[in-house]
Amino acid sequence: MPYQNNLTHKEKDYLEDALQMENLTITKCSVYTDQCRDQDIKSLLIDIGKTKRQHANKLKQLLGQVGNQQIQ
Amino acid sequence: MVYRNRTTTTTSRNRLSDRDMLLDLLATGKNMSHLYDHAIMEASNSTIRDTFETLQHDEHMIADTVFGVMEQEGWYSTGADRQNQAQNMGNSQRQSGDFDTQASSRYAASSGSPRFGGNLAGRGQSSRSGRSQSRPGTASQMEWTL
Repeated sequence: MPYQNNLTHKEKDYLEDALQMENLTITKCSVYTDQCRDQDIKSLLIDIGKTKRQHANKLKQLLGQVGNQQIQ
Repeated sequence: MVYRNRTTTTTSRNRLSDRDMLLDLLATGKNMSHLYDHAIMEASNSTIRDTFETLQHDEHMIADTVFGVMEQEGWYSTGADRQNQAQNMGNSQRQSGDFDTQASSRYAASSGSPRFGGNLAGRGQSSRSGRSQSRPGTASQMEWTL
């Protein structure tokens, strides 16, 4: 709500790109967590995966909310 | 970026070593950090910019953690490390001023590189004969592949 209704094309592109990359990292983290041998690294990967999921949600929110607001 | 143990890169086919996984995450994070950097600069909307800045900060934190683990495990050597290595090997690429006769003769014996340079000045057959003369042939080849 505090932001303007419209995203510029660039912002939208950046958000989408970022979302894609975050999703890729989430996938990588879960694959690596399965393959990993060291327990410490495993938990590190899980942590990173969680952070990345938060990122992805934030980005989705921005993309989604803006979409809703454009209707207004 | 200089990595120390090349042999630990990939343990088996279709499977990454722990080190490679972290390395990949580091590279991905670097990529994303660039993306966020551009996004921050080009955002016209303060909420979006703030979000990107938060994500960018998280990215830095993650990279720091991953790097810390890699350094602790000895999987990622920094510049200081590399300098020590260079000195141990008697290979003073970085400080050519320190290139003493002993080092250069060792260099000639192990890699045959000065001989190779000489061959370039000369031509054709002499180069071939010069090459076959260098005694530790296998050792020199290995150095070249490195």
